[in-house]
Parts: sequence; structure tokens; C-alpha cells
Amino acid sequence: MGFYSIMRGILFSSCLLFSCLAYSTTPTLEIAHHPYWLKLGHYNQPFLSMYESEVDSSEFFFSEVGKTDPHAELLATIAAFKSDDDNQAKCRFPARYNWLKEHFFTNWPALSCPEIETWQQLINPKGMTLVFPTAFMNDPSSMFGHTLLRIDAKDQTRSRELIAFAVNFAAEPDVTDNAALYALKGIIGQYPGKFTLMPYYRKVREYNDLESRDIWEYKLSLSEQEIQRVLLHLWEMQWATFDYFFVDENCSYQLLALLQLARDDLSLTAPFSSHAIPSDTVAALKQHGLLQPPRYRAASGTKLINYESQLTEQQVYLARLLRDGVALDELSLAPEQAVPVLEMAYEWLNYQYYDQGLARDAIAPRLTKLLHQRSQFHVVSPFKPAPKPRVSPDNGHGSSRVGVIFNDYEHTASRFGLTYRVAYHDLLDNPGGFIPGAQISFFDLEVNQGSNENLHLERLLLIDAMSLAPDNGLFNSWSWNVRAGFDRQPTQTKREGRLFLQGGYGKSFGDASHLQSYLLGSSVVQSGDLIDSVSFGLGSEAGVIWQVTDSQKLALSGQAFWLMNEPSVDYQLTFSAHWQIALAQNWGLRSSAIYQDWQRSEQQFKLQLFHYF
Amino acid sequence: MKKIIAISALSLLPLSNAMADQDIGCGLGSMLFAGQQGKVVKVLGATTNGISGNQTFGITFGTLGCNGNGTVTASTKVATFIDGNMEQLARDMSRGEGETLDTLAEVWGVQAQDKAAFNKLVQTQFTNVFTSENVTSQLVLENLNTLVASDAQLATYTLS
Repeated sequence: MGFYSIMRGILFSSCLLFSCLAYSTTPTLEIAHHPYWLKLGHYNQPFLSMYESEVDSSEFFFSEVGKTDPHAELLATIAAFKSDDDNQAKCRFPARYNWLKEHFFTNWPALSCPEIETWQQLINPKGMTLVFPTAFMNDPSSMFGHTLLRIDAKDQTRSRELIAFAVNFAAEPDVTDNAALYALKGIIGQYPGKFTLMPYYRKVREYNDLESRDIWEYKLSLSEQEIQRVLLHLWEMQWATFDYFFVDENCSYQLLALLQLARDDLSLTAPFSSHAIPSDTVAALKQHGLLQPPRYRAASGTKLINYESQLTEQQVYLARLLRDGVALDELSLAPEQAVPVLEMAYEWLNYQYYDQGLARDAIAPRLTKLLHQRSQFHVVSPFKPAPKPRVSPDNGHGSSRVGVIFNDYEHTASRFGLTYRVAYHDLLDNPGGFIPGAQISFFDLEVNQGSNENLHLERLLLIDAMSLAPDNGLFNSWSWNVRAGFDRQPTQTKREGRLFLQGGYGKSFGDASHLQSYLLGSSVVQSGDLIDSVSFGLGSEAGVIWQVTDSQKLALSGQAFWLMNEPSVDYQLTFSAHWQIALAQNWGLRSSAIYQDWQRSEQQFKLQLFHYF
Repeated sequence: MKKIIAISALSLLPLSNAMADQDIGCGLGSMLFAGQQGKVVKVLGATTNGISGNQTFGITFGTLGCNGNGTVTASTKVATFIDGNMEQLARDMSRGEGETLDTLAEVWGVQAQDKAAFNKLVQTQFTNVFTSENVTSQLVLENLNTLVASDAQLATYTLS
């Protein structure tokens, strides 16, 4: 057989394929690489002309090779829809069906799936809201926050919001696993991730009340028709499970993958090939003009602070007595005095109950009694609701940072350098939109140009996290930090590198949004050129952080360590003063004066211009 | 701990024969009044944000009923809402106001002109609704329904 006859054979059989499978005039190969088809299958393109779907369950594909072959999946889908007398295939994948019918197979019958119709009637969708619970006040585990969606019904009012449906993407843990296994498997992606639907109040209770996380709610600028498309695809997600990884393919990424089905030309996941931090996804939606101004739900801890701010010291004192079980009768208060104090006492005890994990047997009767007493006074609550923070998360700085640096040393020549940080926020960065008093830096790199024109590594912090939750009478909080990586210390001849791991635990005082101080007991393990083996240090770290204005922060900090097994020196000191001006949402200028003392002392002045993105 | 919650929620069986509906609960557990110690979700979510604390939710949750085939009755909606919001309802009822109480009135079907009366009733009778710290959501619903039934203005809202 010659070349032409082979070609004719191929052409003929592919024409047959088209005509028997489809009436569309568009070649299936073209449809299979249409961006919307790729979005429907959650395909991404790790390499040129290679596709892989993020969905890991075989039920999501008609074709056996559907995970890696969008064209095979298209052909199998069309075949399944064609031979679908009982409508099973269509009603499993209604978004695929509707899209193919609308654009390519206009003579297909209209979708008819009573179960989906019942589902849609009950959800009764009109709008959609992106819900962003921020991080815990003092818990590293929540780190970047979380995102979910709320489907807003046609008959929804403010007082029906709680019973709207929430769309959540989360890993589904194996309930038989113990806590350690659970943590490990969760981090390395061993639990399958799935979309679920639940009443919105359940998420409000979980984040606002139990975990004390503020919630931001951004209404999305999507039409009813666009929301219907998203929901039809959500229906298809019943057959999809994903390997859940903490940073990649996480909740925020998956919500974007779902939302981009709203429009043919909407591509939301494209910029997030490596990581999707919730605040970044908020920014991505904002860039596409999909976000409306947010509403705010204050967390239980925020409400407690707000209550306290409206009370006198005497009232707080009385509330503390009630909280600790003193009978109301002993205080002989007039009704207008009793109400605020009783409400404060209840919120306070309730917060402690969850925050400290107190025994229910002891606390629940007291909480109930406080409520019983409150109900005797038929007056409205005197408290004003907690004010919305001036800066919402969508107006916070970007989570990655690059910068240029000028370093001036006492003993070494001045150097220019570059810095890059993968994520997320440190205590001197522009605080608007972030949790005050909390710092998480991942992979913070600084390289300097040496005297011989070579670049050398000045600093690489894998993690630099700090949580300074103030201990202020309301909360009995502890503060901590952990820092690990590489940096340089002054020696007799030059600045030499060390690898180190440092951790501290202690208390902080004041107000993280204004003036705050902290004192941590600290220890360090280090090793490097300037040390013979591994050296251990014990000491402390202390500091003051002052938010002078919305855009200016000052910080003083000191670390002192006694080195246990170092023959040449027996102590190590660092003092530093920093001043950062936020020039714009994504620009900052930081100047620092640093004094280091190890094998010799050195003073350093550092000027850094940062851009956040 | 999670398993205990699931069991306690499942044990919240139908309110009464008249209100019987196997859909009640759906694995929703109230935190404080269901007899659990605090920090449940926090402990479970301690390292991996976004891990669901409950496996019983699906895409069709609450729309097709927990067994996936039926509609959800009014009393089931009320019962489920109370069960999932016990603590906040207790707080709101003790004050006679609040978002969760507003939502309960909505779910119950109370018309705008009767909401003030509803709120006042639950506040004045609070100790007869949340009788103790060990009250179940089922009992709260029964207590509320009894109060509503015996109130001249609100009797039309009695759930059957």
C-alpha cells in the first residue's frame, strides 16, 4: 500500500469517526484542545504537548487514558453521550454535555436530569461569594488562611446567609489514623481532596467561633448564568478526587479551577503553577475584576477584644469575677450595669473554654448560668459590633518579595545585594490585611556581590516564623519563634557562614497593632566554617515593635546566647534596629542598623528596597 | 474524638413521631451542648488547614436529603439548624437578638411582623428552652415548639 492510500485510509476512517460520533464540523482534535475542554477536565500542561489532569480518580474519566489524553477523553465522552439511552452519562457530566451541545453539537437533545433539577431548585442560586477565613490569632498551622465559596440563594437576606450552602474543598482524612499519622499524611498529600457542600453556618461556627478566625466575604461579580455553569461542573466534581497537597493543588487552587468554568475565556489557575496562597487567589480574582467590596465577620477573639474596649476597668473586673464563678447576687448590680458585665463574662469564659480546652463538666454549667441570668434582663445588648479593619486582605501586600540591598560594614567593604522571599509576611512588612503580630517567612534569600565581583550567599532562611500573641489580661497567650537556615557572622578575618536552628518561647505584651514587646527564652544549634563542630547556645531574645503609623514600623530586637561548647568565645550577641516605610501597597523601604558580636564585633548598616508581588 | 461526635449526632434521633424524619442530624454535632470538650475542630485541624472535620458531606448534601432521595421537611430544617448552632442560639436567645436567632426565625418560617414577638418569647422563656447545659438539640426544639404552640400570636407557627 502506498503512502497516499494509507493517508486516504486514515482520512476516511477519521471522517467516519467524526460522522458517526458527531455532527460537529469542528475536528475533535480542535475541540479537545479548546481551553474550556481542558478546564472541564482539569488538565494542565506540565510540558509542551503533554497533558495531565489534576483529577486522580478514574470515575471522572470515560476513557482509560483520559487522565493524560484530553482528545481520547473527548471521543469517549461523545461516544458515551451518544449511546446514553438512560441519560446516565449526561447526568453525571452535565457541564461537559451542555458545553459540547452549545458550541459543537447543537442538534443534541436538551439535558434532562430530574435529580440535578431538584438539586438546583433547592440551592436556588443567584450569587456566589468567596469566603476567606484569615489565619488563627496564635496558631502556625493555619498559616495562610483558607478559602471556600458560598452559594447565595435567590431568597437570601442577611439573616438567611447562615443557611446558604458553602462549597468547600478539603482533604478527607481516614478517621482511624492517629494524630501524628494524620498530620504527616495531610502534609504529604496522602488524603484525597474532595469538594463538599455544607451549610454555611457550619464553616462560620468552625472558623469564627471555634478557631477564632476573622472571616472576609467577597461577593463575586458573576451572572446567574455563569454561576449555573460553575454549579453544573461542581456536580461533576462528585466523581473527582485529588491528591491534596498543602501548598499546591490546595483549597484555593481548586476553587479557582472550579470558578474559571464560569466563562469560556476565564483562566484563573494559570499563574499558580507552583503555589496558591489564599490571599494570592483573592488578589487573582480581584485582578479579573470579579471581587466586590468585602464584608467582615469578626472572630470570637476579636469580639472579645471589642467588648473589652467598650468597658471600664471596673466592669472588666466585675466580668472577671462572674467569669470565675462569683454569684451575680453578690455584686448587687442594677440591670443596666449587669447586662454588659454578664455578656462580657460569658464571651470570656466561652473563649477560654475553647482556647484552653477546659473541662466541659466544670465550664458548661457556669456558661449556662451566665446565659440564664442574662435572659432575665429584657434590654438590648449595649455592645457595638466589632469594627471592620481598615485594610481588607485584598489590599495587603503581595506574598512574594524581591529587593535590592545596600550593605555597609564596619570591617568589610560595602556591598550591593539582592533578596528574594517566596512567602509570606514579616513583622516589619506593611501590616494592612495581615494578622498583627504574626510572621511567616519561607525561603528568604540574600546574595551579595563580593569584593572580587563574585556573588556570595549572605543569608538563606528556610523558615523564619514568629507568633507574638499578646498576654494582656484577656488572653493568656504564649509567644514563640523558630528560625532555620544559613547566615553569616563576623570573625577575625571575614564574615563566615553558619547553619543554624533557633527556637524561642515566651511572652509578649501590649497591642500587636500598636506597641508590642516580647521576651523569649531561646536556644540555638549551629555549625559552620567558624565552628569546629556543632555548637549549642542558650539565651534569650527580646524586642519592641511599634507601628508608628499605618505605613511605618519601628523594631528593636536583641539576642544574647551563652555558647556552651565553643572554645574560643563563650557568648554571641546581636542587636538590631529596623525602620520600614511602606511606600505603596507593594513597595517598602527598610533601613536597619545591626550590631553583631561573636569572634569580633561588627556594625552594619543596611538599606533595602522591597517590591511585593 | 470525631467518631464520638458522629455518634452523638446520630443519636439525636427524631424529635417526635409526628416530626420523624431520618434526615435529622446528618452528622452535625453541636460542640458545647452535645457533651464534647472544646477545641474539637482545632485539634483535628491542627496541622493541615482545610482538612474536613466530617466526612458525611457530599455535593448533594442537604439538598436531596441525607439519604439522597427526598426533600427536606420544614421541621427537619429547623432541627438541623438548631443542632448545628446550639451554642450561638443559646447566646442570642438569652439576649433576645442576634444573627443566629434571626436565621432560626427565618428557617422556622416566622413572618417579619411576628419576629419581635418570637424573639421576646424565647428570651423571657429562655430558662425553659435551654433548661440545662446537658439539653439536647432535640429537646430545645420540643421546648421551643411547646412555647410557640401556647403563645396566642405565634401559635400558627407550631411545627407538626
